Amino acid sequence: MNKNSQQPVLVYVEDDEASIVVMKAIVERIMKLQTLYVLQNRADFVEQVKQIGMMPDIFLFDIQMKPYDGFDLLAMLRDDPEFNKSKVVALTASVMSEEVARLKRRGFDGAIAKPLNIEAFPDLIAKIINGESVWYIV
Amino acid sequence: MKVKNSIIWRMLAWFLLLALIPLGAVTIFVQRQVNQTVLGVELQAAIQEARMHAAESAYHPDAFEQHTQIYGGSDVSVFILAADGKYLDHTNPQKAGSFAGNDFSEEILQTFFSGESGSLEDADAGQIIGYSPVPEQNAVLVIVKNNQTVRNTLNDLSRSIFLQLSVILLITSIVSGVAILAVINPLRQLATYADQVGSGDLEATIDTSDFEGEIAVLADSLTTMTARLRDLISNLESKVTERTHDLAMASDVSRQITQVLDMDLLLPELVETTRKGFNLYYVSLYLFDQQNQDLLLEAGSGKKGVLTQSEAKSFHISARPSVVAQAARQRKAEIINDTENSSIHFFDPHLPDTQAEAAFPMLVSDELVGVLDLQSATVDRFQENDTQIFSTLAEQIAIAVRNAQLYREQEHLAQELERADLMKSQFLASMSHELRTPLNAIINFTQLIAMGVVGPVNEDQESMLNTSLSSARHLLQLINDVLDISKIQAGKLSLYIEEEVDLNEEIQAVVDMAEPLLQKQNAGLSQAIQFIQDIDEHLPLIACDRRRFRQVLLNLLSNAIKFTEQGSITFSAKVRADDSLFAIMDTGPGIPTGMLARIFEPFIQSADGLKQAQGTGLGLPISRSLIQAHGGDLWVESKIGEGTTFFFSLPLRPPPTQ
Repeated sequence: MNKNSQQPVLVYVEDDEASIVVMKAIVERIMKLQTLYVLQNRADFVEQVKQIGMMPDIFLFDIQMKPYDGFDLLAMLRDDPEFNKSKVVALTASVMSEEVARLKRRGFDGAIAKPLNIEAFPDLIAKIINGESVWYIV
Repeated sequence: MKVKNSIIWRMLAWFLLLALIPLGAVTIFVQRQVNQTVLGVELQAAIQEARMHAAESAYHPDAFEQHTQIYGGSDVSVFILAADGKYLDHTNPQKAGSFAGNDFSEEILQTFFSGESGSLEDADAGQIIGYSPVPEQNAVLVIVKNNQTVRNTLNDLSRSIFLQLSVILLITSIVSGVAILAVINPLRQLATYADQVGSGDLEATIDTSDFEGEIAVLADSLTTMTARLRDLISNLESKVTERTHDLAMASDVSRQITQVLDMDLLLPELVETTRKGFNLYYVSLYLFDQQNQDLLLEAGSGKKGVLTQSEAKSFHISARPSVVAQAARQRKAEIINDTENSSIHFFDPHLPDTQAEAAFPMLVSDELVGVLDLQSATVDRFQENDTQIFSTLAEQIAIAVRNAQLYREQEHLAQELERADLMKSQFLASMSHELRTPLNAIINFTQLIAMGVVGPVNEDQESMLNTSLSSARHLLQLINDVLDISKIQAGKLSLYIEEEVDLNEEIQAVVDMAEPLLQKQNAGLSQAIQFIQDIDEHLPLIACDRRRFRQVLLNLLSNAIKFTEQGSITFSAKVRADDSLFAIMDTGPGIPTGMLARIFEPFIQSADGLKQAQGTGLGLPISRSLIQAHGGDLWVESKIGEGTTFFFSLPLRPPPTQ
């Protein structure tokens, strides 16, 4: 898989249309990136990722989805050795403290709270890509 | 019988000693009396004889000849005595003509001639003498009888009588002695035996074949009596043993039933224990369905129980024939000791050996809970004593069943509550997701528009969009608070503890978040509120839920800002020995004393708070719960007109069980 040297590749999985629109607005209009790939939470998720043709720099998963939630997608991804080191960030609306613990335990590399802090979001993404741990959940 | 013989001889010796002395005396006395009487008779007879012979001699010339012939050879002599003292005639012819003065004393001779008839005894000569004057002649006829002969005869007779009496007495006494011994000895044996029995030795025996007649009857009654006594006592013992066993059994069952609250476990065990414990054929338990007035077989002992129960046996309380229904109807024990001849007993083909049936109503304060049914393969199995025990047992079971029913109801209720609670949790979780998803979109869209990302906006538009954004955030906060408080109330609040949290860093972050609120508040005031920070530079690194710490601090700071319109807000953070102490002091209106406790109750706000219509009213209760979950405390001090200070303490590490 080719490594994109120009722009970071973002993969986003979300089942709420409005959230997708918000994410697109932030990434495309504020961050000025054309490399946001919104994928479906289906069993063939890993196949969809491979079809992008580029190695994503960051995966953004909504947690509460059906039929596959963020944890399922993470498991699918980690099952493939190609992606077991990929950076995966949870987008969660949950305020529950134990949710954070669960995300960490299950292997997410970070979490960003919803609603998104639009002003802070580009920095957070940059930090994650640079290898920093981001748990932006207040 | 050696004992018997020795007694006989001793008895005999005593008899001879004691009985023969009076016997001798009596014999002598009798002899005397007889002699006296005989003498009297002799004397009288002698007179009569003398008179008779005198008369004969006077009127019959040959009379004397005849006398001689009659008395010849005997020791009786008859003679006629002339006045001159000569014998005129004499049965001894040699005496005729001789003087009587040779044979008789002068005194006696004079008596002869007294002119009267008479008799006398010449004791010295041993003679009875009768005399009578011969009429017409100057002579007296005298008859002399040798009294010694009579004496001898009498003595012989006396001796003979004495001897005979002695013999008779002896024989009588031997016979009676033997008879007495035959009575006394057995009586003695019986007495010894009775003594033994009396002293409690009921095993003592006696051979009744040793006895005869009345004694045998007596011995028989005594042994029978002893046997009955023995039976009675051993029966009593076995009855007591039996009763003790029954009571122990009943108590066992009672204990068992009060320990088990699960009826499905309790009842099958109960009937089996009862059946075994009381050695019954079949034990079953019916529960009463108050609503349908049905009796439902709840448990039956053994295979028959399983068999019968598989048929889901139930019948109406009015069912006939049925001992169980009868007992249920009458609310009292129904006992059939011979089921074959009973019209109440219902024959169950699964229970062919039943001979007796007893049903005991299970009552709890007069309310019918069910019926305990006992069946025995023995006729007359259920007696008075059993009835009491079984009745008590039925009562105990009734209480246990009622308890189990209540327990079941409670359990059901608890399950319902649990289910409701689960539904509530699910509802809240779902609400949190379903409400926040669109709300998040609204917030982000509004933000994007206000930022001019989708096109230029003028100041008015931006202001309105920001107001809209603020309201949306408030709504989101409300949703989050409701979720928090419901978790706290459900006791499901959990902290996400991080190690080495830098409090100075966290405080700075919160102060940064509060800054815009303060600016906003100051914007509407003529004089800006002073914000004073008095924070120890090196607060310890602690283990805590960072998010929750921020939440509490932000809540208290925003409250202080919200309610203060003049003066200052002082935020201090101090290191103490075991914890850190935080204080947020304002110069606001203060909280009335009556409200101080209530502000920590959910959905309570001060009058001013309500007026301002900001906040959810949940901030303080949530904050206090969060701090308490960390092992600290949160409290308030306030004075109307002067201001309010909120304090909270935070230990270095929350308690392990949180």
